[in-house]
Parts: sequence; C-alpha cells; structure tokens
Amino acid sequence: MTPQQKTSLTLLALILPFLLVGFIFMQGVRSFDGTEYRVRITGYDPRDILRGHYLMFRYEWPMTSQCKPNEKCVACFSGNPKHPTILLQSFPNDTAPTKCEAYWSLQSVMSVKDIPQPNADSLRFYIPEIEAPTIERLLRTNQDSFEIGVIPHQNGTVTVKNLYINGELLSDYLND
Amino acid sequence: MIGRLNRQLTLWAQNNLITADQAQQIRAFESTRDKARSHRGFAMVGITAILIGVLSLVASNWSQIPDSIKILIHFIFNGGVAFAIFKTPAHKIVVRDLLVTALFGMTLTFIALLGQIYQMHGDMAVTITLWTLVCTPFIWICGRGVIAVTPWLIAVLVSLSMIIDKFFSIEDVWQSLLSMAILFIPLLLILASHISFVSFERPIFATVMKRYGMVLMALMAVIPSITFWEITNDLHIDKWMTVLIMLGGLGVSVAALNTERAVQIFTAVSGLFIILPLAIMPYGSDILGAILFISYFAFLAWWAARQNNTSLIDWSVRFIILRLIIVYFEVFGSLAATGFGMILTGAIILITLRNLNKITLWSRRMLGQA
Repeated sequence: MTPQQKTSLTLLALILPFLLVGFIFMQGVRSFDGTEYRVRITGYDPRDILRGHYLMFRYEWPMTSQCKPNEKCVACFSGNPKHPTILLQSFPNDTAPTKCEAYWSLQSVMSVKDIPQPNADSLRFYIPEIEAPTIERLLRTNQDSFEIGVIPHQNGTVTVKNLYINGELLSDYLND
Repeated sequence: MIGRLNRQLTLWAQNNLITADQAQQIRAFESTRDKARSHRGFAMVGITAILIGVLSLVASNWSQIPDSIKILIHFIFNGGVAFAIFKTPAHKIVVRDLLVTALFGMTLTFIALLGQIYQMHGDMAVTITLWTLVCTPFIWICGRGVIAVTPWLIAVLVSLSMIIDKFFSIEDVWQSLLSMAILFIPLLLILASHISFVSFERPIFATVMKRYGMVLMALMAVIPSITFWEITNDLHIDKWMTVLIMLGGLGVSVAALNTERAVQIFTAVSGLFIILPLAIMPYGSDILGAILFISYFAFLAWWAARQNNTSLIDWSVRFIILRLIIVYFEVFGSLAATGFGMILTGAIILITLRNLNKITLWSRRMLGQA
C-alpha cells in the first residue's frame, strides 16, 4: 500500500463516525420539521431511574375518546396548533384519516372506557439532571399547566419536541 | 518503587547475583525513569484538574447553553481529536491510542447528545452496534496498543451481547440457535486472534483478544458449575441437539487452533467444562457442581504449570481450597452454626490460612514447578 493510499484510508476511516453522527443529526432535524401541536399532560411517575432523567407522563386529552375496542385509534389534530382541537377516533381501515390536518396513531383500547395513549417512546421527555427535582415537584403539585409539543408526521408517528409549563417553554420558564 | 528496588539491588549485590557497579547503573537508570514518571504524573494531575473544571462549568450552565451551541462545540471537539489523530506520528503510540479512545468515546457522547436534544428514543442495541461498527475502521487503522483495543473490545462484546439478547426475545428456533452463539463469543475472540492477518498486522490486538477470550472462557467454564445451565428452559430445541451443536462448534474451533498447542488444550477443556453441565441438566447438584469446579481449577493449575505460570497455579490452588471450605459449609450446614461447629469452622479456616503457602508450594512441586 502506498503512503497516499494509507493516508486516504486513514481519512476515510476517521470520517466514518462523523457520517453516522451526521445521519443521526439529519434525522433529528427532519423529525423536528413540521407543525407543533400542544397536548396537555399529567405526570404519574416523574422520573424513570432506569432510563435516566426522563419526565414520565400521560396525555390528558381534551375530549372523551370515541375509539372502539381493538380498532386502530388516532388522535386527530386541527385548528390552532397552540390550542388544537383533538378528536380521538377509530379508523378501522388502514387509510390515513382525511379530515384531520395531522394525525397520530395511538395504541388500541381494550374497552370504550380506556383512555388511549401512544407507545412508550412518546410518554417521556428528556430533562437535564439539574432541573429534574424542580420539574418533578411542579408536576406533583399539579398546580401548573404542563403541555408537550408534538410534531405529527405523515405516517402517523410523532416527534416529542418541547415541554411547556403554563404556556412557556421549559428553558424560558426555568430562567424566569 | 525506587526504595523497594534499592533494597532488592542491595540484597542481590550482597549475594553476588549482580556486581556493585551493575547495581549502581540500574539505580541511575531507574532514578531518571522515575523522575520522568513523576513529571508525567504531575502533568496528568494538572490536565485532569483543568478537564474537571471545564466539565463542571459546562455542567452547571448546561440548561443555559443553546442546543445548537452544544452540537457545534461537540462537533469541534470531535473534529479536533480526529485531526490530532491524523497529525500525530504513528510512533507516538500512547498519545495516538489515547486520542483514538477519546474519539471512540466522544462519538458515543455525540450520539447521546443528539438523542437528548431531538428527543430520540432509538433502539439501544442497534445504536451501540452501529457506533462500534463505524468506529472499528479508525481504531484498526490508527490504534496500536492496549489502550485503544481494550475499550473497543469491550464495546464489541457489549454490542454482540445486546444484539443476541434482542434476537433472543423473539421466540423461535433460529433465535434460540443464535442465542447459543453467546457461549462462543470467547471462542470467536481466540479464533480471531489466530487469524494471520490480525496477528501480523496488529499483534497487540491479537494478544488482547486472546487474553480476553481465554479469561471469558475460563469464567464461562466456572459459572455453570455454580449455577448449572438454566438456559435450556428458554430454548425451543432439544437439549441434546444443543449439546451436539456446541460440541461441533468447539471441535471445529479447536481444530483451527492447531498452531498453538497450549491454547488448543485450554480451549478444548474449557469448552467441555462449559458444555458438560448443560448435558448433565437437570441432574445437577451442589456436590457435582463442586466436583466440576475443583476439577476445572485442577486443570488450570496443571495447564499453568506447563506454561511456567506459578501465579496461576497459586490462584487455582487457592480457589480449590476456597471451594472445599464452601463444600464443608454445604455438607455440615446447620451443624457449622452450633458452638462446636463454630470452633471447628474457625480452626479449619485458621489452619488453612496458616498452611496456605505450604499447600501452594507443595502443589507447585507436585506439578514440577520450583
């Protein structure tokens, strides 16, 4: 192997990790692209110790669920993204709901009384360790309004983007 | 260090093992090395203090730093380390290895940072495996020594285990077969170290792989003698088919190790000790476990004697003695907790401790070692 070939190979090998990081970065940027809808949340287990410093919560839907047992259930978003109209409806067939501006596939319910929730990945929000005790206390006292900003994608998945306390972004709220 | 060496040199000179001049030359040589070592030590303390200071500053202001700045700074750090690796001459092995290890670790922290910022909840097994895979080429090309290869090898083992564990949760025959591969990870390491390309191009990598493989193999040969394999409960195939597949794999691997007789013997016997409890299942018992444990360490002592490794002989003998004491507790159970039993137990432990050196020396002599 010539010295030039060796140098090129070294460069290529050193670039590889940056390509992976770049790919993940692009995925992240792309997942944050879209309209953000806010949904009220309530906490039940503020931190999951095994998973690090994540705020654990459940979504508090403004409407009663109309999802039927064992059928595909979606959250249908429309109106002002800050205060969206959210309908929880069944979609027996696999076609995307056409009347919604954006939709979010939730887990099927076992009975009509169940409150539909998404999969576990959308039920937690990363918070820095230093802020964890403050947020944990706030969520427990239940006096402040907590909202999660989600960005629905075309395939029915969402990206959890921001946490809002009393309408303010988490970082702004904590800085005040 | 120098004090102890000084005493030893004086003793050796008094017993005419070395001349007074040679002792003096060794002292002079070691004292210069010692100075350099202490300088390096102080420099490391200084660098560590600065790093801890920077880290604590960043940590205390973490929430105030905008996400884009966090990403940019991490990118600059990673880029800087990659550039430093590229510019560091190949003969500066320690510096280059440290930089390689730093870039390896920082790539993972960068991925973690992006995961936190963009609230990603990706699969941990896939992430760790991808990270290990993309970092392998630069570690192979730029790494030379133990510092670079050890973290990488640990990451490889962790990612392999995670991937196998991920597949293992899916219940069918093929996944069960794949899960058995976990038993052969140490074997794969030993085999990889014998690939001529690896041992010729990266001798240190090969040595570390072989050592880790052998240590893991020894561990895996010991653990079943304590717990007995309960994995058979999770397998969806016949126990004897599993044993046959494992024996087949072991046989092929042992045959491939024909260039190094000692490793071949070690691998063959350790492999059998891994498989044997699985074949015995469900007829395992404490006594059978003790017999397997003691037999394996007796083999290790014998094997160590062939390698002139007195340290391993001593440790094997100590483990055998420890296991015999446990056997005493297992056999006599509640009797050992009575007044008489306590006296007897104490006496046994004291006599064993007092004669430990004599026993190990006797074992060495029995195995033909001075």
